[in-house]
Amino acid sequence: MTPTNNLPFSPSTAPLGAHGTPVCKHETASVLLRRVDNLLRPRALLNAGSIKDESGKFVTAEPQNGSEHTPDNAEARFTQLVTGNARWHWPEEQEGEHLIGFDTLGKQLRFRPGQLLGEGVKLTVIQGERKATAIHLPPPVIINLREAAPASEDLLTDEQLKYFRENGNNALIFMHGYNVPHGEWGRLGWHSNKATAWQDPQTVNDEYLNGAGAHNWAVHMEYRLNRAAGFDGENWMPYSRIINVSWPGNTGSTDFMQAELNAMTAGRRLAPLLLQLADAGIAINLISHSLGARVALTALNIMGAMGKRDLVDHLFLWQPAVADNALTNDSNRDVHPLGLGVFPNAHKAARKIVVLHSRGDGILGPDSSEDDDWWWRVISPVSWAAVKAWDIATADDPMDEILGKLRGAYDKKWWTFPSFLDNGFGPAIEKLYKDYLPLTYDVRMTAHPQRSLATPGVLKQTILDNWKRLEKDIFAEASALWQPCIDCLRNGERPPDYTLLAPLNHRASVSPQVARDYVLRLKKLAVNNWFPEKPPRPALGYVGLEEAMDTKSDNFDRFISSLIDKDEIDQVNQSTWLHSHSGMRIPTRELFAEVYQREIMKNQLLANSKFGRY
Amino acid sequence: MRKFNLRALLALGLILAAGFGFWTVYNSSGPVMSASVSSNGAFAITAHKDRKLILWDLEGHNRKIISRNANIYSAYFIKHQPTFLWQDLDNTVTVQSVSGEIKTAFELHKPTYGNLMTQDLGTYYYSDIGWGLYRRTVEGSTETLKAADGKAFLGYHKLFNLTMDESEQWIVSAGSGEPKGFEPPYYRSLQEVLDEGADYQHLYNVALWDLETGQPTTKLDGNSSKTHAAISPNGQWVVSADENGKSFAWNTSHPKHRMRNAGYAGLFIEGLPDDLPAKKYYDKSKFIDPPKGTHAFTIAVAFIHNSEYYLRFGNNSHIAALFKTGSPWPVKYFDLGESPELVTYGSQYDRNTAIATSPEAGILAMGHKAGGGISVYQFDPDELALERVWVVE
Repeated sequence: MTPTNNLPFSPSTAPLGAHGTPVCKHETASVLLRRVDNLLRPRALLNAGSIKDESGKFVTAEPQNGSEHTPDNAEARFTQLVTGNARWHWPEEQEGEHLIGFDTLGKQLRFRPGQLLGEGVKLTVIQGERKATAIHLPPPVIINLREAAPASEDLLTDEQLKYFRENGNNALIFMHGYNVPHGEWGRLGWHSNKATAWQDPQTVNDEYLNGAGAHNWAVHMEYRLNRAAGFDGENWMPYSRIINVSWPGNTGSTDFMQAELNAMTAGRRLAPLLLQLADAGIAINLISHSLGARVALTALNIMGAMGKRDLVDHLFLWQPAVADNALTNDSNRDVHPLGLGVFPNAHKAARKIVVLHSRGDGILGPDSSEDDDWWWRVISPVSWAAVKAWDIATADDPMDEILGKLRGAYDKKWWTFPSFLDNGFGPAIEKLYKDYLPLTYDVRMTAHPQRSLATPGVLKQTILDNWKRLEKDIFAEASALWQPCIDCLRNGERPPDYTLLAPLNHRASVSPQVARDYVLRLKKLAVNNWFPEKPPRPALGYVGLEEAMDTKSDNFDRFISSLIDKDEIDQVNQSTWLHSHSGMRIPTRELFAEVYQREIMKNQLLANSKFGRY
Repeated sequence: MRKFNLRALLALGLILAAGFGFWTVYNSSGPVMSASVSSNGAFAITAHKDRKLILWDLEGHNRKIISRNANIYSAYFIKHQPTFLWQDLDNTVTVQSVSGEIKTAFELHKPTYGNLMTQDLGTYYYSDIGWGLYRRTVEGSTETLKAADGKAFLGYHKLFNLTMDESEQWIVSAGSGEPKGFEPPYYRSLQEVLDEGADYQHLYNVALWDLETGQPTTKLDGNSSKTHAAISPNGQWVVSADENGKSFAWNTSHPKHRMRNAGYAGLFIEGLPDDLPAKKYYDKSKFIDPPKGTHAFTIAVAFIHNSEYYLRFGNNSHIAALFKTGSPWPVKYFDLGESPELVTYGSQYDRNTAIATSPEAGILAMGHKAGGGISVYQFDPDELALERVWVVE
């Protein structure tokens, strides 16, 4: 026989039926379709879709039994197909497992999620049985810490855990920032299928394609991190899923204190997930944005207090909306009136903390470019309003614009003016202690004795009684939860949340002594009508560690200085690359190259840890 | 008649005022971007943001505009010669004496972002926008010592700083430090850097180059983030400091041995166990307390007296610390003056070449944060004093 490769032409591999034989005379054949993920692990094929064969007939596969991910369930057989050209159409990807590849003998097709959703995948049905493999992305991973849920729902499923173990034995957890709703997935192009992977919004708006709220952040961050690690944007085989934490930071644009309380509750719930990954021997890396830093630092502070040293490889604090001395180990340096400004044990649980800060962040600090704007607003209020409306309408991050015009919203977080906004400490504290109100004396409550419920004397007594009751209940909560918190964390279980002591949820447990100190702080704040004596420390995401390193400043922190000297903290000044608080969601080419690619991936993750299989 | 005379007088006054204004603007200059001081300390050459090249007579307190068309990073005085070089915006490099005599001129195919020349005016070393390092011989051939990496200068907003010793045997380059890894040996080897990119494309951190072989002999690790380094005139010492406040020194005879310099909280002691009280990590036995305004985050280091003393300039600070080679301790702190604000203010790592010294003459010349002026200082090695001798605002 003449070897095939010596022929002067390429013989057709298409079956005879495709060349002139009447369709009614075509032979019938079958296709054995196997489904795998991009780790080439068999995946259950419960609904294999349909194949439209040469005759135009739609053939469905024999259904499989069960939903287990076993090799048996990963295959489906389409029979009675007419040989010739055909197209495979697959069903909606319920779990967001997008089709990214289709392999037949000698041919490997690769495509973007949703690329062939409408037209289907071409294949040739040949005599006998054709074997084909459909490759899907693994489903996305979102840990929803917004609503109350059983502790098991805060953890990864066995299947998810297995994925991260087999995908390079590492997991990256991303925590979004302040004022991000849960949102939903976008749509795959013009189809109704939900999209869990990034699509280029060249002609359609970003929210439609890439989702809203925490889902939008998840899609963008996951894609950028993959690209920075080496993913070329075309072949999705090495694409790695990350763990996205959705937490309730959307408390309105001014109730920052409530968002801080929510962040700490979420961080507390996140701690067992870290233990779950660590116990499975999976390397952990964390990236937080803005107030997401408080979620991450709470979890690490609790882990550090429990003696879990070097539990995670890296914590990247990207534009962290926490105090610039948040990493100190000295609680006495905390200027927060309720003692929730620092995370004294967080550094222990991370091998390296990387602070990514920028003076170009108009939310965390007064961006210099806004000084001119401020004066302009005073001299030309009408035109300012019109232009601002346009700025907000056209901004990539409208909330950045809205908050940014407060000339550094972060350092106004303790403001109590104007009083019609839910700003400052009052609204969050009064919500927390709503069963104990009033806790402060307001003369207006007795201004009209005929209409008021209280005379000054009665009101004062009521307030004293409320404080006595609150104090007693706070101490009772501290005593009741002190040991259970420690026991839970030792067992890798979710620790109980503090309710009355919610501002101390960043602590592993609250001792009676700490509870007493808290009550004193609370009373001091109440006497001052919820207005703190000291302004907040500047945001870490704005100033970095410059002031904490200034030996002649009152803010000098020798401990933070030692962490830098020990190379346990690296900081990256992004002022020349990052010009808005949320600019990393849709980065400029420069920001992507300098921060995602170099500072996060090349210098840290890929050098010392791992990201997926890169 | 009287009215006519008044009008004419007024018009004349306006013309004169406009002429004076024009003349002032014509002769003023933008902020200094690069500077270099002659070995004898008599002259400085500066290139400015508005592309002026100015020769300063530091003894006569005069200045002369040499060009209005100069590359802002090209000003360089050749050691022990009354001769400087600069590049114009057509990329022609001109070597000329202070008296105006053109010694040589040649064309490069790209703009320089920092350059050096040997005393015989034969060999020219330069960097480019991608932090490349090149050697041009007197015959005109060019050799790549370090390949460019994209547009690293634009990425980092920092120059690839170069210094050469007097014997012209070594060049020290410094871009950005490599973060410390988790496990020994903690840093990539030279070979690993070479494997990552041909011609040491990614050799960003402090490196010692042997000019005989044209190869880096040692990668000097320890710094992180934007890093500046300098080699002593006798080639014996390399000193470095960075944006994270870390400072190190190496003796070029034993480059594997890294010596840590004291910061402004004391001398950090390496190798101690975790969880000690923070102050236990710092030796303050020979420490001199710094004055207010001394910042550890460093923008530049420069030798000020031969190979014996060097200065460390903090970012956003007008205090410079004096160090003696071989010792990790600061010897003295100098207040460089709050006004006018110096180039050390504003994290201007893309202007750290506006700080220049002559270690032989003990002269320091610095640009200002804004405006085209300079401040000149004279170091007294006997009194260990640094006096501001000339300020041009």
